[in-house]
Amino acid sequence: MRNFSKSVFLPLLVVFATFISCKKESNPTVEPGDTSPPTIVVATPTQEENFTGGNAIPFKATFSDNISLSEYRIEMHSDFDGHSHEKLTTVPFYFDTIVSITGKQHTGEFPIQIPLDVTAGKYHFMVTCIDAAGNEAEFVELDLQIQNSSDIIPPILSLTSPDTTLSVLTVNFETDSATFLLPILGTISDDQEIKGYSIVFTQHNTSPEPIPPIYERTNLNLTGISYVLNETLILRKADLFSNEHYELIITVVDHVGNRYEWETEVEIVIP
Amino acid sequence: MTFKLSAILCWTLVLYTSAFAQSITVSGKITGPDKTDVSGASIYLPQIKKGALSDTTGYFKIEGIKPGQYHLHFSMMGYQPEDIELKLGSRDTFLLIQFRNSNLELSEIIVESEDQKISESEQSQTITVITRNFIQKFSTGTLVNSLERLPGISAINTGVGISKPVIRGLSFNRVLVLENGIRQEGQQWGADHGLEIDAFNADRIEIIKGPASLLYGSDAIGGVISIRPAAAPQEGHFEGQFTSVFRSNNSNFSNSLMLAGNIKGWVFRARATTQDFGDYSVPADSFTYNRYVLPVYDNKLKNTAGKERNIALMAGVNKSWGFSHLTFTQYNQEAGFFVGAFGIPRTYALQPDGDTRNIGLPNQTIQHTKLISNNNIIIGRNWLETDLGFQRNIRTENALPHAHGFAPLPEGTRSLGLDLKTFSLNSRYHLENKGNYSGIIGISTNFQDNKRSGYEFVIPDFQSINGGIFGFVQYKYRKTLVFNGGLRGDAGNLNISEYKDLLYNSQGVQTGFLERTPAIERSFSNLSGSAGLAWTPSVRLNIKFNLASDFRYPTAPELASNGIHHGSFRHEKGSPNLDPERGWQADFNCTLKSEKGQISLTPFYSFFTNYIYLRPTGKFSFLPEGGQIYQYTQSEAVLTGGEFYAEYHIIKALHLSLTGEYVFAQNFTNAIPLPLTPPLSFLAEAEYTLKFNKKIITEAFFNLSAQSFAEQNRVDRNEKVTPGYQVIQAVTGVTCKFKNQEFRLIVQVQNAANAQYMNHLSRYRILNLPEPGRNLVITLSVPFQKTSHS
Repeated sequence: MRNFSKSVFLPLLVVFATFISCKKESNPTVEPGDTSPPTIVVATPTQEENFTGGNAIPFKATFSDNISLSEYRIEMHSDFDGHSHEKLTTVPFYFDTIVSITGKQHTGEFPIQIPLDVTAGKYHFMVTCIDAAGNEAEFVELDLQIQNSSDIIPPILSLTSPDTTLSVLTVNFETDSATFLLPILGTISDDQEIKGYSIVFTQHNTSPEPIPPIYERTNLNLTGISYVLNETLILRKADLFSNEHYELIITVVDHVGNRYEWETEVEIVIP
Repeated sequence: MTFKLSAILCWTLVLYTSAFAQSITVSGKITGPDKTDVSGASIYLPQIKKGALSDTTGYFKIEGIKPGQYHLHFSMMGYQPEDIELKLGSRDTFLLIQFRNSNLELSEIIVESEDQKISESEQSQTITVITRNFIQKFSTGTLVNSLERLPGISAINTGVGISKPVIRGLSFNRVLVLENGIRQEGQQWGADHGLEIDAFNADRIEIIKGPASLLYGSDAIGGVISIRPAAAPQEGHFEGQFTSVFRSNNSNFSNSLMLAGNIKGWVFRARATTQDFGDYSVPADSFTYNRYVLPVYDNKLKNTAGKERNIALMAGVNKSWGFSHLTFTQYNQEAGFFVGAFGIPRTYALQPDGDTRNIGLPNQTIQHTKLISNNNIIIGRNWLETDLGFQRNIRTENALPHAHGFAPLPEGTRSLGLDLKTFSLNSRYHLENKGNYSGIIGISTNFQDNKRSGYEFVIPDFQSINGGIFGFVQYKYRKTLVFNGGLRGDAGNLNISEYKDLLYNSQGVQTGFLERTPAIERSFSNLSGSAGLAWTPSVRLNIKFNLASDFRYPTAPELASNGIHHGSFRHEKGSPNLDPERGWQADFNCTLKSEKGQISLTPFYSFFTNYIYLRPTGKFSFLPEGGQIYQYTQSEAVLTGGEFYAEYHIIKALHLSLTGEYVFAQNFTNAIPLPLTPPLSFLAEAEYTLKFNKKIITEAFFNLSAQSFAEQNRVDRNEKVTPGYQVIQAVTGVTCKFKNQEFRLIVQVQNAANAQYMNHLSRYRILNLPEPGRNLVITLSVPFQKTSHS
């Protein structure tokens, strides 16, 4: 019966209460009606800053909220998007930490150690923050360049075939031939040690959704400072269309993940 | 021969009964207000699905009816439809029906609650009925979007092709959708889970706004959307229809073919539908997400293409004892999710892949299969209605797995698989009128089993069983005042299975388990009720008041989810101790009607003692890239507002109308508004109809409408304010006849001004993504029929 009267009379009370009431919550750090998100000011690192493996990223950021802060999170991950990088990648650096904080303002300051054997490349550095009421700050995202401490020089690829001076590589199928043989010739060299290369021939696709490449050759078992590249790309007429966009990507990588990528657009002509 | 004459207001009904017979014939004559014969009027007995059309002299005849209590519907374009309750003894009956004039378009249909068998003016809740014509005229890619023009109805969209209904700001498990009388069960809790119903198969949609828990049990809080396919043709008739729709914005091609027939009461209906659409276009070449300006290449949203393949088969028997129908339907959809809506959008992910019709990753596939048996049987003079249903919803969400932490990369692309089986039984016994009383007693029961799969955990396996029993009484006082009320008792049990993730160390070796949800067993019971009145002091005025308590059990996701709901980019967490959500709602409606127009005002007030919603917490997800944890919480809340509708015909052929709707929603615990509240909006519409006699073109119409939405600045925490906007739409249609073959062509221009705006209820709103741009919709429909006189 108590519930019944509550259910019936409360709605009427509530009509008026709607515009005036603020029912207090048990948690003193949560103010009802607080919809102001905290703010983040990241002092360091800065956008496009370069770091080297073995060193630390000097993290320093100030978080502010009108009532009370709750947590912030730093997440750093590689941005090796596109093509077949995944296959060439050793273990990229991944950092994720959540820090509990209180008060209206907090300055977080600590070094983030980069491993000595870090895979070189572009990384995303993200800082997010929420207040005690659950308001979420607009996150701060920075692009950082990480280099390996022992080696910052990428490998060199010099091709003799195909012709790298052409902006578009044209593949002319002969009328009665079902295949086209494209020689990939040249040298790969590195100041310290090469790790491998990959050759990918694919339909134009820059989305993260992979479409199976038409041709793919990966070799990650190289050693030494120089290697003579001698591969033949076998293109089958049956797999190709005249009006589609194709591309040829050759990536070379050294033993710490420094990479060099060459790509060209390929035009297919089928008579 | 007995003779009864009753002059009810301005129309008269005359009853003759004669000659004792076991099989009764009901016949009669229909006239207009000026005593002229009305030919082609429809006479229909829904309880046995029998009907007839009046001949050129206004006469009609329906044979082979058993003694009992019936509803009889009379309708004809240009006249006010009439429905009468008829007690048939053992004598043949002759009726004299005199129609009243009406210019109102919807007068071609009887607005009656199919489940309550009560006409609209006698019902204490607002009930709206729309038909195939309306759905076709304002054709959209989904059924739900077609309803958005109605006052108080909105939709939560995920791009184009995925939408779920909202009634007065309430959605998800707070709106009950029935098809063929059976509740649609398909993971309604998810914002990106649309309604799995073929838009072409819906012929009549009945919408009850406000709580209807009394008759339908849990979930009927915001209202009920009851979808019915077309009734089978009358004996000896065969009919069919081919409909083809093209939508320019996403190059959508839809085709649907229907065939139906009736051989001596044995009826069948079959339908097949296909729908294929490409990426949709927005009138923008970039969007901004958290300070980043991201490109929209070629104005196309990448990977929003999709397709649908649906079938529906019905077979049954319509006899004098009632009817029994068995319906099989299957809905298949495959639809892509905008690439930028998963995680933080990146420029490289948005570049075109050269194909605007492919469905890449991420995407969802849904198969919804239903087997439903609908039965209505006369027992003595009462009717027993029984609906039995089995349905299975198989949902798969596919996305590329990401290696997170030290766990190995999952195999395959199935991120989430959900397999939900539901068995439902509803039975209603309609008691014969005793004096001024009539009533319904009923039971309903539901059994569910859910199984999950995939590399992501959102909701666990569960089983649930629940049932309810109700009684509903109606009392009529002096034919102008109707009181109704009822009570309902419900009980249910929900059994949730535990789910554990594997934990890995830094070497990638499994070291233990991480509990995502414990095993939870909950039992619920609830007593609810409603009371209302409907007063029709004159033919022009109708006043309704309804007070109802409503409820819904907490769902398995609300109790036990714990994971990143793919696409919402947030970690959703259940609370195992939630109580059933309970509310009280008061509804008022006042309608003033004349031959030339009507005006209607419908305010409502809903109070919830424990409204369940996803509340952002001050904690981050323990899952990598999981964002903030949103936890299901209960709070006192209120939703209030109302709808307004005015329609006027200066001349019969010119329709002018204005619709308005507003919802005010407030969470008392947080002292901030509830999320996903539709903004204040108005719809102004003008339509001109032309009729031609003895020409190839028999009918034509021109419709122009403008919809205006106010800024929605009453937003929940972390929800964005959505600016106001205006959308203009033009529709024109013709009906042609070549050698007795009819063709209907409708051309529609949606968002005619190509306005760039955002919809507050769109799931892509958080990305600041604009809604679809200008859209040309062409609908061709070819109905055909054959009558065998054998």
